[in-house]
Amino acid sequence: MSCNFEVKIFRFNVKMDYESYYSTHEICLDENDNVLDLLNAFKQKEYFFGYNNNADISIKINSITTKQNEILKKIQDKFGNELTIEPLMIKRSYHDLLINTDDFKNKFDFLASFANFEDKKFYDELEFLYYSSATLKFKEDYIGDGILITAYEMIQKYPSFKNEILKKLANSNIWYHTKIQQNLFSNSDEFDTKINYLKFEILKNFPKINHITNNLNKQLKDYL
Amino acid sequence: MNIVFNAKICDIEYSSFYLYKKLLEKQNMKHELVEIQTPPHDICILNENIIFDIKNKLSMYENNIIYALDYHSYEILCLVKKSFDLNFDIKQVFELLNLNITQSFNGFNASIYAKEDKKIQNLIQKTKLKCLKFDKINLPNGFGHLNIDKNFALQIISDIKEEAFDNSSDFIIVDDIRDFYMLENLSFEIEKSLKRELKIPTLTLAEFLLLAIKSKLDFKNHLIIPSFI
Repeated sequence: MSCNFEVKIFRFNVKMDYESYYSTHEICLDENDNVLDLLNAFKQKEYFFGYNNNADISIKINSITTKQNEILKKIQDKFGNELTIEPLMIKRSYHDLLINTDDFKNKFDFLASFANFEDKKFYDELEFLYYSSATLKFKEDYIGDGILITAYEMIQKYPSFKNEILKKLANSNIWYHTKIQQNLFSNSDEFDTKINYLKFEILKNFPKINHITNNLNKQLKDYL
Repeated sequence: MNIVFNAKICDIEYSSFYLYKKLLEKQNMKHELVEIQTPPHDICILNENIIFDIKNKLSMYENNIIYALDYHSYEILCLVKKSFDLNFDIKQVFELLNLNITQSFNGFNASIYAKEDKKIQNLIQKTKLKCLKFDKINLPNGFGHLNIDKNFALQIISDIKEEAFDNSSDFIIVDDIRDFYMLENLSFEIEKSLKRELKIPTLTLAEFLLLAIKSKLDFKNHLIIPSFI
């Protein structure tokens, strides 16, 4: 079976364009092909199109973070036949779907003193998560869901660091985390559950560490 | 007998509870309404005692289907079910409805800000209301951040309301009491934060469905009264 799509892709080349724009093409592929095949087909039509030719990375389709290895049948089931494809974060695009990720990389400093090479490698794979958070749009200095998930995994791995990591998180802007589940193609609640666990543990172990934990604990007491 | 559950948020007076009661009665549908006061979902997830308390109140409904009154009630049911591995099925109350739509909304545009927007669009398609594409549909409502940083919460909800307004929606339909509170009760604060007038009403799904069957509503809980009624 084939899938027909009207594909609208974000375009911007920092070296040539004053403003961004969208290119639209009709593309027909087999339903078992994946998003990367779709981007490759688009490249055939637009030679200078910039994207990452790697099935494991993610882009945004109709505002939802989607891996490039997702098969087109599933894409059609979820979004229908009109697709708007954009980079993970439009304002960091330097060439179409390619983005500058320095902000994501720099935020690892937060955990660097507890982490080893493997933890850093784990964090690097969470780039898609960092750019999926709605919080980032309103608060650029947000620590990022990538750090929070890495912190969660490190607490499981190194229980002796648990209190130090939680204390550091308590005084960070973890409290600005917003639910991420609906922004992911998988619609998985796995990441929100892990981040909520961190908040839960902070409130339990450090209820009066700052005005936010104080305030939240006061609210909890009022309800109980 | 259908069990309809409402997790009424302690701080919010308004709920669609009595509106759904009206809708179910119009269909002569037998139902038991269960309403409990809970903190908002964002607070419930932070304390095991609160979830345990809700679980105790719901345990007598095990082995049933429980119909959530709105998305907040749905999230609370899912949280309790997952935390304690309870045995009940969760559905949305609007799935019970099969209404005889008599009011046409032909010529009206609306933005649906709801997690189950596709199901809702199917439910209301007989009204001929045009549901506009809403890019901000996946943004959170900011309710959980009101007590952490109100400006941040207002920034988020303002962004949502502004898109609906700029798309020329006649109104916004919501299916979560928290969305209604943010969009309607904070209307003036949103306008102040945007320095812009956004006179766009918000209707709960239950209110819209009642209008669709030509029931009268008083809109006493609304700050922006729908002028087209």
